[in-house]
Amino acid sequence: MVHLSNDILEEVLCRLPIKCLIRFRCVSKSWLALISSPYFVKLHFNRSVQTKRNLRLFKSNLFQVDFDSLHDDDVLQEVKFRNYGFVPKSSCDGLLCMSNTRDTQRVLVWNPSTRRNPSKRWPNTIAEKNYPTTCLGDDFLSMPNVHAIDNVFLWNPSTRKALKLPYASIEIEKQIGLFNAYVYCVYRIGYDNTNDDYKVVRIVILSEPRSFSEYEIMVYSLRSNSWHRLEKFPHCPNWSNFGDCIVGGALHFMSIVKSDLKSENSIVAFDLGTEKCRVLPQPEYNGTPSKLCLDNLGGCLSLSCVYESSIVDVFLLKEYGGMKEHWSRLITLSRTSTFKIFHPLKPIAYSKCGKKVWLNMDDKRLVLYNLEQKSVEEIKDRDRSSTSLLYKYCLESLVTVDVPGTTKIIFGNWIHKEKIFKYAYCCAIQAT
Amino acid sequence: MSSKKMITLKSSDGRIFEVEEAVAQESQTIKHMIEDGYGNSVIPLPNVTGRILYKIIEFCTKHVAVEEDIKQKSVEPTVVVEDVKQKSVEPTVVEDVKQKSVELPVDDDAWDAEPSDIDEWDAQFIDVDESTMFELIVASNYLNIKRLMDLSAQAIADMMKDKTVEEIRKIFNIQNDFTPEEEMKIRNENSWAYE
Repeated sequence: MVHLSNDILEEVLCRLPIKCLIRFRCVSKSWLALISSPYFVKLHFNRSVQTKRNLRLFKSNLFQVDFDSLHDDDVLQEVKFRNYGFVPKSSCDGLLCMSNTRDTQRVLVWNPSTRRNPSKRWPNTIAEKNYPTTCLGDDFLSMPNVHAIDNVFLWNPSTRKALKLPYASIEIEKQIGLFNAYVYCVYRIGYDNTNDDYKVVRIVILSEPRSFSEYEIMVYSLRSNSWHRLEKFPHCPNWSNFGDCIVGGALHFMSIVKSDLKSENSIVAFDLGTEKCRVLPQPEYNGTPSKLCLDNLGGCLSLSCVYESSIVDVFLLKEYGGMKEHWSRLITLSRTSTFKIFHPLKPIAYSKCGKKVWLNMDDKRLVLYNLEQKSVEEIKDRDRSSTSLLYKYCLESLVTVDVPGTTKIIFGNWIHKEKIFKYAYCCAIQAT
Repeated sequence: MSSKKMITLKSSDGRIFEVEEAVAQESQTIKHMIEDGYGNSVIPLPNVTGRILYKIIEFCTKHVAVEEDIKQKSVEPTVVVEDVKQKSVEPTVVEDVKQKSVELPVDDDAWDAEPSDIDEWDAQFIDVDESTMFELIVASNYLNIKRLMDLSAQAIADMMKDKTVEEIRKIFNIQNDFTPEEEMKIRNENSWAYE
């Protein structure tokens, strides 16, 4: 048999699914080195992105759907992870950032000397539990129930290896009242192409009704396996509409500035590499926007805009970061007698042929929009048995989270495969 | 009709092939040689046997013919996204929203105007034994013929997909240089992949 050089072997191997590659690591030492090399991991990953293979969809309760097997079987196979109470908060390049299911926790306020809480709402036994504490007021300490910050993992479901992120305490200074204060944790993972590093941004928001929110930002770097604290953003984020879109190595969010006369929206990009913010220009709207929503559609930043007239436009930001950066309108939707629009409208993915786009309407319907014919092709109403239509994309990759000196955790055994009726989920699956 | 320029190629085992210039230029390697002025003499290809060169010429001839065919047909518009500033202000009204029955399209070819015959031809072309596939990929790499490279790489990958580690070693003629303990350790790390 003719011998294949490493170059040719890479060309062949990068076309294999992840499961095969993991298996073939033990063929020989040179194959192990080749498959594990960072160059090959990137090559394979880039190929997956281009050919839209090796895709997964995740729902909040961690079901996975394997896109490739979809064409072989007629019935959708969903595989459930044993997730130990963790859910993916954000994903990038096949890595999931997982933490405890509850994002929002009530802040408990208590006085350590009297060991009583002023509101007398919670039993004193809470004081005996070993919660990390943060000093807020004079002699009051608040005890956020901080499972959300204590157990954070980076996990690659393909290699099954996980890394527990080091603990980083919350330090927010705010005078809070005694009741109804909440701590909310947001995690976003992204790739910093300046430093060839994966970064996790953690934003903890302390909020109270009838009061403004305070927040803190921490950034974790995989290379240094450590957190560092950042100054607050120069633009105040609109927390009710934070968005989940890391595009081009930057975290994007809507910022809102309210003055007496009006409120102004702006789109802010926080670069993971430079850790600086910049304001993006907005597109020319066809009316007065009443609601704006940011998303990541196929690697481009998308902006869904609902006008006061109830028409919806979806824009894409082209030539990101370049001289010719501009918004381009992709979709326009109008309400008709037969077609109702629910907000927010979130684009999920392109179909595999690239000519259609799947949109989620307020988790009530999935809509397939044909870009060439500029019309809605299909509508799927939410099945009663489905818990959510909010799918997130994740690519399968061999990206590793090996950090020297940390314990490797391997978790995520498949516990069972379920054959779910096509009806409830095929609309999302037709995205291939 | 003017006669097309012919290029002469010589395989490692001395066989001579005369091909049209357009066909020969499917190989970037040969194309550069022609540009450097070697197109008028016999171009030796010491890394390619006659048997394989014959097949490669067959591949390139077919693809050149198909491309010429395509040039004569009209091109379908595919552009969808318009820059905001250029478009008129009128928003498009969505009409006739149809509720389709649930059916998974197996492939998106249903949306193209005509089916892809060339893909079928390619599939038959590459339907050869493993040894020939390997020779084709090595030759197409040397001759720098991207389309054939992609086709043969994909064919080899497809062939490998369901094979066990032992079968792979046999096909690629690889010696297992792991100790049994080392191999066991790697397998156990990801035992789920071996099911």
